[in-house]
Amino acid sequence: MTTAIAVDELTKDYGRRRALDRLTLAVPAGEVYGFLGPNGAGKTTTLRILLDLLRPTSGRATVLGLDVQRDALPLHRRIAYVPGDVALWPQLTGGQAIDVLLALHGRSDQKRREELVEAFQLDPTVRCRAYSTGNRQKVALVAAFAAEADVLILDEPTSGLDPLMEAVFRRHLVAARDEGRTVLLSSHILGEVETTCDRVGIIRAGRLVETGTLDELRHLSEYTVDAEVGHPPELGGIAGVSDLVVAPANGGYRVRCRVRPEATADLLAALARAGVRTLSSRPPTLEELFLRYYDAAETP
Amino acid sequence: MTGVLIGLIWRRLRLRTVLWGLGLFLLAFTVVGSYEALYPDPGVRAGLTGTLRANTSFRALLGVPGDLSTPGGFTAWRVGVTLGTLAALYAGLGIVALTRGEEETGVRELVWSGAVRRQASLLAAAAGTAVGSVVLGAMATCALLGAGAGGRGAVLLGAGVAAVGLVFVAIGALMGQVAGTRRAASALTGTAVGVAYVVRMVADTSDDRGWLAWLSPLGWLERVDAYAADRVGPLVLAAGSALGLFAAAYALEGRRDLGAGLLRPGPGPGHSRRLRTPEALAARLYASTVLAWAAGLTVFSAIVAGIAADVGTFVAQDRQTADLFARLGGSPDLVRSYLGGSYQFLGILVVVVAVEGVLGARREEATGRADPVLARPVARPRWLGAFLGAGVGGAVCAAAAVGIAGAAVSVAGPGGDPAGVLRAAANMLPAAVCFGGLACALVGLVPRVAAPVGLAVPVVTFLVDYFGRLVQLPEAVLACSPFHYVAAVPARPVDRPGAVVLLAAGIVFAVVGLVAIRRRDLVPV
Repeated sequence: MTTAIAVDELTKDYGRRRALDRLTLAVPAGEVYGFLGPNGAGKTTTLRILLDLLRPTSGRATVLGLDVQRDALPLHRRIAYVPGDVALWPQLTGGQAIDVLLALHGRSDQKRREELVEAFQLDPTVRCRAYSTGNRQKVALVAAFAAEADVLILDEPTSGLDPLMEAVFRRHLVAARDEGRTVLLSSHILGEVETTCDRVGIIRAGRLVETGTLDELRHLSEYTVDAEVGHPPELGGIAGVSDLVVAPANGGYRVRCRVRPEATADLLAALARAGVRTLSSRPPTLEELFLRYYDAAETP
Repeated sequence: MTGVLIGLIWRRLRLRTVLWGLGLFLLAFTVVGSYEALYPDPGVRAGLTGTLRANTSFRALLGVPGDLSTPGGFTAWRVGVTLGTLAALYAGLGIVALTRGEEETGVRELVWSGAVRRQASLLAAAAGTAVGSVVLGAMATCALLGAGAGGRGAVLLGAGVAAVGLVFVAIGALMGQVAGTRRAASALTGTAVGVAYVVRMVADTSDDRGWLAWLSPLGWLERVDAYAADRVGPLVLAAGSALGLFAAAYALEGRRDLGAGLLRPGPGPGHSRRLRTPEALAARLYASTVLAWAAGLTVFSAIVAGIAADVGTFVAQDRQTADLFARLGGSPDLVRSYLGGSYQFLGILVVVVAVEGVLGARREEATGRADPVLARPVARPRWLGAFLGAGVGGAVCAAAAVGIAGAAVSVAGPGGDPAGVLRAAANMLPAAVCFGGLACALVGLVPRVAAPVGLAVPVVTFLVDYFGRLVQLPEAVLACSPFHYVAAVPARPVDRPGAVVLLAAGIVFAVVGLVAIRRRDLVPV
């Protein structure tokens, strides 16, 4: 596995505020990497450093083996970028803006440009000042997908798109991956992450708190267990069991708790001793997973 | 609720109103004062009206004199039209900024969704700018009274200035309905001010065409004829027109969609083959602004050159004014002195064209539009250099407009100096390069303050030089201003060493900026 994007001990201070705190991150080539985290965690700062729009306080980053600062120019020929807040020239039309961005990029595919404009249902003859947020994002997406690039860096690119257009975006994202491109995607839309990302990294307060495939993250996280037992179970002593609720029901007791994977065996033994009648467990939903990481990482 | 809106509007307007008011006050105040100094002799005063009435150039520039035998009457003629034009710009552009500007930033959406009448925002903005116009008029009256030119005329002139403001409040409100963007509405309103000025000028240059003045709000101000005929009728006409025009704007405001205007922009080109480089993009973004400046400077330069001969004859009759001109121009030849001083003044505007173009880079950066460009294979120095090129190129176009218009008029009229005018226009460029380069250095080094500092430095050093010579500041102070090294061409020959130093300084500044831009973060506002 080769690494397309390598971030090494990256720190960025804005005056006294530390936006990135020795962030280290690796994105394997040819994968879609979901970059997640609450607002203000440092996602956009990281992406802007990768594009040499911001300069790190310390640490370094490489993309495709090229230093993001020293080799910025040759590197930018191989990167396509969609900013989080797309600002365009009010007096130009959307089509003109797309052509400017493609011309500045260098190599681009005219046929694909037309197809993308069609697919995103963008009217390219409208002045950018009249575009909604979603339409400005479409301009940036067309310019990014039509450019010949090995790496796509996308900062919440679908925050203004409707579900139909988001589906179009996902289709092109998957197509880009299938062509062997690497994608770094910052997003808050969990469905999008779940269907498109091979791997995710969760950033919180400028540090990477977790990274892995979604399955790996699930396995690291607590399952929810529901059971009905004959008499009160003794679960208080088991480390790794939390949020325990025991209530009388159907002549016995209903038990609900969360359990960390390493404590599952102890939990099952205790439930067996309490005369377990029914048992079900489910992995955390994506939402629970993220809420846990966004919250729990408060104390690093 | 409308009360709340008026409060908000006034918070945004009050500083601007105070500054404009002070400007009008100082203008009127100093002219009243200068009258005593310029024309101490009652005999000269009595003959002044007749002399100046016969001078077509002065009638074109300032209007038909009413009664120049008193300080008040002289001031009403000398600055009346100027005060009215300033009030028109304040009011017209002010209400456009408050209405269309608010609509573009999205504030209006919140207001319209609130429990208010649709026209509440328009009413509040109109009320604010109307009060502001009255303040401007009152400041003019105060200046006249304060300088001792009292009486009915002072009040009527102030009322006339306020009335012009009110008319343009209504015109600005209407243009805000016609155009769908702030830029277009401002351009239409500015054009309306220009048309009002030109109609007045055409009317004032011949008695046969005098009736035309009734078609211009600035003509109404003249027809008040403060300190002479003291008419109230034109004020009533102005107030009535303002109400009528505003009623139309009010009606349209109730019918249209949010963000829409009567002029619907048609679809533009869906492709662009020309915008392939950062340079082409920077030029395209700045072109319309340069065009507007060039148009204004063309008119300005044509007027300056057109009245040169008349000014020479008139000033020659008056030793003190002749001294003043000689000090500004530095030549005993009055026409050339006048041209030298006037073209120096146009020169600062050309410098502003250069600086504004370079500062376009900072605007792109602050709004985030630079991000998608610099995320592509565009080196930062090339990107900033493109805006430097747009600024300097814009300045060359502006100077060319000045030179060509001035030279063309000079060739046509008697006693002109077309070659001198062309040299004067070319002489503006070293300073434009110098301050364009300085703006580039500021964008590279101190982006957050680049815009205000980049504009303030040339304007302030220019004023130090220009007025410093009038009040005869010590040479050591004057030598600090870069404009000290820009000769008043054609009164004097081009200061070649000075020009070389300015060009060299500009290039050094530019290089500093292009190096510095590599080293920093892109920063928002």
